[in-house]
Amino acid sequence: MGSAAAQIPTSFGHELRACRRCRLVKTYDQFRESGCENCPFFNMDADHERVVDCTTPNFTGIISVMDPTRSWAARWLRIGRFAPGCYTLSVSEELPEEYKAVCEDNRVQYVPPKRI
Amino acid sequence: MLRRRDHDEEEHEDKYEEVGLSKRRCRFAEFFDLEAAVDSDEEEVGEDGIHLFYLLAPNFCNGFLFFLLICQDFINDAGAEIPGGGGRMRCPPLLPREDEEEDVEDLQTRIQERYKRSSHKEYDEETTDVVDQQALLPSVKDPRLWKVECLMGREKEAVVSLMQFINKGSELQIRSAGTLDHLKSNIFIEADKEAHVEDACRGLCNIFPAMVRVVPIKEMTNVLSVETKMVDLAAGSWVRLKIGKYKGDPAKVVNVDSVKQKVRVKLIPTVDLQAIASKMDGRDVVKRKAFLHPPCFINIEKGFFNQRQDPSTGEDFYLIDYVV
Repeated sequence: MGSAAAQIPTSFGHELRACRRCRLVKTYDQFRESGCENCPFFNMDADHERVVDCTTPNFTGIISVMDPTRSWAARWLRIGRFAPGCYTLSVSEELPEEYKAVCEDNRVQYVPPKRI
Repeated sequence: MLRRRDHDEEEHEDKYEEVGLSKRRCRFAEFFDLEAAVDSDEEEVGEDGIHLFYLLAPNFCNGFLFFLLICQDFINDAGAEIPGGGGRMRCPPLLPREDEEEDVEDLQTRIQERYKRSSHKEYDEETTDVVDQQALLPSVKDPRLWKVECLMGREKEAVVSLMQFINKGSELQIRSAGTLDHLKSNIFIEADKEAHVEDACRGLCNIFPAMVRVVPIKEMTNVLSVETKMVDLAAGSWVRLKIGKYKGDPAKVVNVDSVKQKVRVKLIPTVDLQAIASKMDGRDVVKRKAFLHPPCFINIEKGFFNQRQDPSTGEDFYLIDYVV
């Protein structure tokens, strides 16, 4: 989680997906090729199925965070410690149970989305 | 509060000595507003030399609120100036002595409990993540959000291209840029100054920097609080079509493709004979008006269905009364 920026989505259509843990937004292909910058322990680049499981196309709103450490919006959305990049305001699907366990094993926090 | 006491001490001493009140009394007055009706106030010297000073304020939020101050220097000072506990004589306690003793013991246990609890609150990496959202509310020191008009339908593109600018090494002073799905033709840019927003928008044909408005601090949280609607689509669930020829018709989900974001549904086809006839005659086809079907075709509760069992096979079947 350094200061190196995450990949930026190359298109804006339906192929956009958001990581269910850190809410990073990229295209399906980008996730498949280089995984998620904030959640490397999911190893999405190793297995395409993992991209489907760990990301979701159902999300609301996009925010480009240029300077996460000094941005109030990033702090409010709790993405202040992640790499600069495009994030979504909220994802609508939870991580599958087995990936929650992966988060625990790697001692990273997972906050499930609030259900309404 | 204590610091303030030091500054104002001299002033208050003079004032209260004139009226003939004890010095300790005047120090009380500094700590409390006049509207806090003081029912009883008392000072107790503990064995270990810790001085407890409390008062009951029944008109505070939930019944009784104990105001506790533990301050060694403060009371030691006062003790030096008031000889032989004379101060206590001047303010006779309103509560009987026996109750007081119990109260103090109760109070001491409460204090111990409270401090025991607080000692566990160590702010390490994990706990700061789950810190209450209220603590993150924007303040005047934080950058402001600016609402900027942009070309309809190009909101995402605008936000992402701003990010690309930064990555290409341009030194823009903006912190973030966001778009909301429900707010068309507007994006939000977070920056310290309006000039920074204008700098960022320069050269982007999708954004109109002429229409920049600052979002009031109180509304900043509303902008970023979006409600996610959980769409729980599975094979077998019922949906209603929103667009197309069958707009308004209920349909049943056959399968869901989450990767392609496509859902296959089955529905009752509507054959518009009138439209076919007019088309064959070469006349203008009158568009079918969208008709909102009822949630259920037949009202089951009214007893139209009669469940029967086939005597030969044992299978259940339904008889619809008014059709048969």
